[in-house]
Amino acid sequence: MQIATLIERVSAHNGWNMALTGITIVFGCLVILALVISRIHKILDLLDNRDKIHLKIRKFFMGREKEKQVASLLTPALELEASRYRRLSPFLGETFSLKGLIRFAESRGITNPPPEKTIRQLLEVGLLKKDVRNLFTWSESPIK
Amino acid sequence: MEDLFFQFLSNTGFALVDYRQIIMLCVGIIFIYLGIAKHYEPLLLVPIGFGILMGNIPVVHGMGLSIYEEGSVLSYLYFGVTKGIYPPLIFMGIGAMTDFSTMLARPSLMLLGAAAQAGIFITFLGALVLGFSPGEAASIGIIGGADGPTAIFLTSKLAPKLIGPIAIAAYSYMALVPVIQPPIMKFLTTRKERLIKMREPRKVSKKERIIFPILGLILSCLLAPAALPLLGMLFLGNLLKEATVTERLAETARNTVIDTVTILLGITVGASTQGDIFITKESIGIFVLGALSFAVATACGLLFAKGMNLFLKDKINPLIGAAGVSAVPDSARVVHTVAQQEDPTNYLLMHAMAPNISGVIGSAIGAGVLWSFLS
Repeated sequence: MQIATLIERVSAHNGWNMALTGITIVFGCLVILALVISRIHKILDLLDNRDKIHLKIRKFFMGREKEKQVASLLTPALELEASRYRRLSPFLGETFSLKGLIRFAESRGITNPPPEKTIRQLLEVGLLKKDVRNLFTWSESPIK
Repeated sequence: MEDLFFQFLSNTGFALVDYRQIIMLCVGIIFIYLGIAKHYEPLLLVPIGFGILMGNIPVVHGMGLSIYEEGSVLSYLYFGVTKGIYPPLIFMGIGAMTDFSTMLARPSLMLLGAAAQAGIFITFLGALVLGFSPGEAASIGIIGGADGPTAIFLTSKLAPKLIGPIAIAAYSYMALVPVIQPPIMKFLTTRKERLIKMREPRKVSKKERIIFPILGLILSCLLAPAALPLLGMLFLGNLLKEATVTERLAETARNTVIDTVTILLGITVGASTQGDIFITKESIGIFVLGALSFAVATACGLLFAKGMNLFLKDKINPLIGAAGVSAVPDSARVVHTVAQQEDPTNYLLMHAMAPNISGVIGSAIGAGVLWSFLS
């Protein structure tokens, strides 16, 4: 009975709600402040390195653009041609010169379309790659 | 001539003295003793103790000498307390003294400062149960924030007649941090927990330290606008310090301003404790609830730190939760001392400063919230 009276005293002044709301606001306020200040140094890092980030973003979008171009160039016909040329690699080795590839293709009767044209297209889509010794090698996937 | 002599005698303090004033004179002497001999917050306890002596010298009413008499010199000085002018100025000084780096380095520790503020609201409920009015209950609860200026500020707004006992209770408990907190800390933590070493905080850049007071003011005062007078001045002081181009102003805020205001605040708060007004059942209730509030706040911070450890990979020493009550930097020092008693190579002072400072912000927000609820 007495406890009920004491609890009523708190309820009469809306004490429970005030206490609960109060602690929630204090806690919420400090949590938000903590979250925001935990981001400050990251935002400052971004601002300090904005040139590098700008470059990365540019590279990323340029890459995407190139992928799109490659996708439009990499027609089924070209893929078929690529598979025909890939079959020559056991005879040419892992790396080869472009001259050697053209000559070998012509000797095998691959002349239509002309090897120069096909090889140029394969270079554009990135299926053929140049290495450090100025020799060429096949790439697993286009562009990269 | 004889009549004049007897009239003079009847006007002396010896003739007018009351037993309650004698008790308060003893309290004043104890405060001065604790400040000077025991080094318990001497900058606060010495002026307050002396103020208690000044306020309890019996005087004839009507001569304009008492702090409660209109037009007296002390009543003018007391104006800064009753109108809540001194606390924001002290906050500016605290801001100009405080380095927020450790808090910026590990903001998650701010939660400990938030948890410790639960003591304010639990005591608020306790005071309501004991029959105090909501304004009085809020002013008593804020003692748990262990922040003298905040307690005075809120009391001046919600329960001006209790400023004396509440200010004395708040500052007494702040001074007694090294006595009150260690037993609670040891009771609620295991030895293994007290031995936890925390990793070094990361280095905080100058830019971060400059941005924080601006961002802190905007965010916290948008969320709790009533905290503006206290937090506004706290963040202003800190910006003056961190900007470095305003070093002269920061120097003034952390030395001249805060020292002047502390003297005025101490003297007037002390003088407001006149025995006949101060020694009441209400005051005793305030002291008991104030101690309870302080203990609950300390316990909440500690328990929350233990709770955080359940989810953290990189464990924190739960002792630093006790620094969530404001009392800058005393409670952080106490945390450090208790940790060093277990392991002299464990340095917790820097880590404990983070919840300690966030406790200052939290108690100011708490005061603002209660003020907005009850004004």
